Order: sequence, then C-alpha cells, then structure tokens
Amino acid sequence: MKVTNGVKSKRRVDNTDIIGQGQLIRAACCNLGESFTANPSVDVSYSDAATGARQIKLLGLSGTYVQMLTENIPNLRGASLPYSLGYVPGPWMQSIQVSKGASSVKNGYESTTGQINIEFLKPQGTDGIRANIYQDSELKTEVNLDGSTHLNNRLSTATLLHFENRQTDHDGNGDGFMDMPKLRQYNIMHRWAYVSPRWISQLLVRGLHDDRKGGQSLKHANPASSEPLYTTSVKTNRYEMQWKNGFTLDADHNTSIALMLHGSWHDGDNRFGLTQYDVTQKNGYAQLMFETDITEQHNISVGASVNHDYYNERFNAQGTLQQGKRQVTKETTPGIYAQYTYKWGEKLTVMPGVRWDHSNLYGSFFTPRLHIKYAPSDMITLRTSVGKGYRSPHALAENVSLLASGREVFVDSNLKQEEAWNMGVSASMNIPLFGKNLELNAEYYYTDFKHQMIVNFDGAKGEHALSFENLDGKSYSHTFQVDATYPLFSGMSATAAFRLNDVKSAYDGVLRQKPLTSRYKGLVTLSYKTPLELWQFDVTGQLNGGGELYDQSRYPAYFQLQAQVTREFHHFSIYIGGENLTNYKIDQPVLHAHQPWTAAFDATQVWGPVTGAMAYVGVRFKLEKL
Amino acid sequence: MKKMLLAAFMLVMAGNTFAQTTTDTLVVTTLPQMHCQNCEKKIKSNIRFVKGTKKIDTSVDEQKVTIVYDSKKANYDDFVAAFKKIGYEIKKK
Repeated sequence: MKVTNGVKSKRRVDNTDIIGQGQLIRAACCNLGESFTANPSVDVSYSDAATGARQIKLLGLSGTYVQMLTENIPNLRGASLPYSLGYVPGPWMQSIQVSKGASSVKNGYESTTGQINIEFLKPQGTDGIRANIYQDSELKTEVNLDGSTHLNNRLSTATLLHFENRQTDHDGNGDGFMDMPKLRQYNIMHRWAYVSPRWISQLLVRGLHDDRKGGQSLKHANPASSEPLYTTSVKTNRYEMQWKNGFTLDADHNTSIALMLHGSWHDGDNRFGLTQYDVTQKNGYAQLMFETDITEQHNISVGASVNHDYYNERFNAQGTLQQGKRQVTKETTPGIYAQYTYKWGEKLTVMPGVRWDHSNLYGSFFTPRLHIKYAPSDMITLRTSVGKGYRSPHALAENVSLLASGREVFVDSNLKQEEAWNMGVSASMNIPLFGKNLELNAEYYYTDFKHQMIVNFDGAKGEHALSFENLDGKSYSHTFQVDATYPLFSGMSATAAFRLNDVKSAYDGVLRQKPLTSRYKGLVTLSYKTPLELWQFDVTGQLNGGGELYDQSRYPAYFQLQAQVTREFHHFSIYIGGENLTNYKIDQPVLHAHQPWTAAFDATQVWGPVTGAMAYVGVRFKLEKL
Repeated sequence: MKKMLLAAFMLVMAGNTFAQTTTDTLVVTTLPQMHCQNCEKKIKSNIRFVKGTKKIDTSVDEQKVTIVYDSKKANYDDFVAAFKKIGYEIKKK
C-alpha cells in the first residue's frame, strides 16, 4: 500500500493512485487544486498572475487532456475548466482517483492522458456534522460546514456549505499589480441517497458563485501615472444537477443496469483591462449502462450515452467593438460502447473496449482502448494500456486567462477536433527490504497527437499575437517516472519520485519544446505519525525543472517546501502549516507591468510561484454518530 | 557553579523518578466482533483518548485488541467504559 502520495490500487487494471482522506488532510487542501501537492504525477501551477486560476498537467500535458469526472460522470469541462480546481472544496472530497493513460471507454472519448475522478462525501457514508475553518497569512478565510443524517436505514441526505474570502490588496513584488486577486466564493451542495439491496439512487444539486478582482489597484499603482488602472474581474455562476441510479438484476452475476444524468449551467463574465469575454455554457449528459459477469472470468459492459453542449460566447478584444462579437456553438454527440473484461484470478486481466460516437460538428469517430494487467507474483504487477482520445476544442472558453495580456488574439475559424493516441507501460514492485516493504513504481507514457489545437504565442501571426490554430506537424509527449515508498521506522514513511518530461509541438512548422513545461520534477515526502496517531508531521519538497518561455529563453529550476503539523483531539483537530517555505518567487510575474495598455504587456508567463512563503492554521471539527 | 550543576542534576533525576510509569498490557475480545477496517478504526480513534493509553493494536483475524497503557493512570474499568461508549463490550482474552 502506498500511503504517502496516494494508494496505488493493486486490483485495478489501469494505473491509478487513490488519494483518500488520510492523504487529503496532510496539507491544507483548501480545494481540488491543492490536493495534488504530494502527488508526483500531477503538476499544479498558476495559469496567470492576475486571476489566481490554477491548472493541472498530467503526463506533461495540459489539464484539458485529462478527463475530469465527479462520481464517474464527466464534469468541469469547457468554460468551467480554467477555474475548476477552485470549484471543489477540499473538505467536500471523500477521495480522488488519478488514472494515468488511456481510460475505460465507459466514461466517453475525452480522456487522453488520463482521468481524475472526485468522490464527494456521501450521505449514506456519514452521519453527523463536520466543520473546517482555515485562515492563512494572506488573510484568506475559509469556512466549510456540512451535515448529514440518515432518515431511515435506506434514505439519507446531506448538505455541504463552503465560503471563502480574501479581500487583501497585497503587492509583494512592487509591480503595481495585486499578487493574488481579491476572491469571494459561495458554494453549496445538497444531496440525497436511497440505498436498498436492488436499487441505489443518488441525487445531487449544486450552486456556486465565484468573484475575483485583480490587477492594478489605487493602493499600489504609480500615482504619477495618468493612465487608467488595468483591472481584471471574473464573475462566475454555476449550477449543476446529477442523478445516478443503479438497479441490481442478479446479485450472483453482478448483473446491473445504471442510468446516469447530469446537467450544468455555467455563466462566466471575464474582464481583462478593456478585453471582455463572457460565456454561457449549458451541458446535458445521459448514460445508460448494462454490466454482467457471464462467468467468474468474463465480464461484459455495454452502454449508450448522449452529450449536448451549448456555448454562447461574447468576445470584445481590447474593447474595440461597440458590442462583443457573439458566437453560438451547439454540439450533440450520441455514442455507444462495449467493454469486455477477462480475469484469470488476480494474475491476468485483459480489458479491450470500443466506442463509436457521432458529433453533429465533427462527424462519426471510433475510440478503441486496451488495458492489460499481469501480476506473475505478489512482488510485481505489470500494466500496459493503449487508446485513443478525442476533444472538441473551445479556444477562449478553455483558455480565458490567456487574455490577461496585450496580445492580439486570433482564433482559427476551422479548428479540428483534437485526436491523440496514448500508450504506456508501468511496473509496480513490492520488494522486501530489511524486514519492511519497499514499493517501487516505474512508468513510461507516450502521447501522440494527430490533430491538436495549438496555442501559438508571438509566432508567425506577429510579435505580440496569441493564435489558437490547428497543429501543422508533430506534437507529442514522452514521460518517464519512478517513485519509491519505504516505511523508515514505525509511523514514518518516505516517498521519493522523479519524472522526466519531453513535450514538443510544431509551431509555425518548427518542432520545439512546449512553453512553460518543466523538463523534470523531483519530489520527496516524509510523513510521521506518533503511535496513537495523535500527532502527524508532514513535509513535502519539490524540485521543478526549468523549461522554456514563449520566446524560447529558459527559466531556471526551483525548489519548494511545504510542511504541516496536525494534532488530533477527540472531536476536533488543529493543523498548522506553511507553503512555499523556501520563499521562492519569480521576479517578474507580470511583464511590462508599468505599461499595461501596450501590446507587450503580459501576465500569462507564470512559470513559478507569484507569492512568497505563506503560513496557515485551521481547525477541523467532527461530531458523528457512532 | 558546582552547586548549580548539582541542583540541575538532582532536578533531572527527580523528574525521571516521578515520570516513571508502570506499563501494563491488556488483551481483550469485543462483542460485537470486529469485522473490517472501519471497526478497527472506530476502536483505535476512540480508545486512544483513555488517559494513559500508549499503544493500541487491533487484529480482525485474531479478534483481539491489545492495549498498552500506564496502569497508574488507567485501569480495566476505564477501558470497559470507553468501549461501552462506542457500542462494544469487552472481555479479557
């Protein structure tokens, strides 16, 4: 069992890390974006120096190629993607599953580099009230409160509330821009669960309001300047509903039918200086699934799904138009899939799957995927996977924070559906060493794009141009990672990991390293629990390798450290910690900060931390029925 | 100076004498029986707050809970009461 950066699931056919609550409480984990700090596979970085948006990278590639799921239903896509890591409060999460490589065809065709599935706290699994209050040295306050009750032995309900607020106007690097935006978020989820031997039904409704204001402020701007202040504003309202039903037809053969429905309405109003981009996305998703064990060795899963996306975008670059240019995109994609699983005990699992989908915009397409797991002994498990992934690109909706610059924006009117192959191999070993178990994992993944939307900065379109265009040439990613976990002594566990990335794309016909992508990453985590687990000490050190900026100049490697101490009491625990303890900051997160109305202004080349060392303290409170 | 060192030494010795503990080990079975990791977690996360508890080991396979405790701070009845609070009766094994 891997206990530091997530439990590696030995039984699963795919290469999956499970980050449970035990791992989530090892750092402040205010939201989804902060849940991967001790995970070597997932990189989290700020998208820009204005909005506080964070993005993830998996297998060296952008988070757009990772399929996000909430309780196994595709979610947080399109317009919600740029800020989605801040939309899932940490205390709401029961677990996160990070699957690398081609995933099951059950969840659709969109997964290219992997899947991240978030399981929220479930009413049927909890009964009581919980609270989490957090305060950090940047004066951000978070309050989480959730309660659940079992109305009878089948029906249960839960309500989860989240509030966060930071209204400080801090400019540590003296560039006149706030280091972090002012932020206020209200987030509520209400859910019901009905669990009987034959029918399980889970209903979830959710509402979110997120408001971010950043940029220059009167407090820090040059008083001698006659230019207006460059400010940013991102206002988001989002509503979701999800209803999952599972009917057991034959318990002996695990025969079941499942019906899953999801709907969301997302409205985002973005202002970057004079540039205005407003987007409304409506999404509807339905999936019907049938599964059965034909025998103990043979399982079959077949199903159908339909996805509908409606985008209404209003874009006014640099405020040059009287009214924003409006564009409406509607895409409906019905599809069917079949997946077969052959299991030979715990030794061998072979899982081929195919799906066929038809998009009204891109036509029909076929998605084959294959997973094989072979465990010749308890000491070693080998896995391989190969599969295709597709995505419909939405240039501005998915990359809105790139508008925080003075660049002229070009969007190719004929962007192709993105298409890529992903293949990988991994080996997980359990090696007895000095009476304890050393876990050693090694993996290699290759992603090769056939079609891709390239984000080309300052290329052939001009010196200060941001162009979303079709790939013309090669685009690929090679990643190789090794990690080892060893219990040094009773209560003390250490993990060390190292990953090499080789990510290249053709820009204007020239193959070059993908900008803002580190060449390597090293990570060490140490975790110690006292014998009764009343005290817990966690330290994570991370070395981010250097990479290239847009103009192909290089940025250096840097080291970051974070630590936390947790003390458990009977009904509550107190945690105190610090992030970026090495106080490493990039010198100029905003380029040409004193000329924000020029084409050279750029707040999007953020390759490292914008803010320095930060301390936090929090209290978790729990009163549950025993 | 010598007097001060001697006083410090005596203080440390006195501290050690008073800090001496009498460690005892209690092995019990539970009713109802433990079935899974959740049962173990429930027992461990609650019984650890009985004053004087130093270590708790649980085994679902052997159906036993082993508690190492300071017998000057806790006794068998304290553990009976603590287990009762979380819905278990215990018997010495």
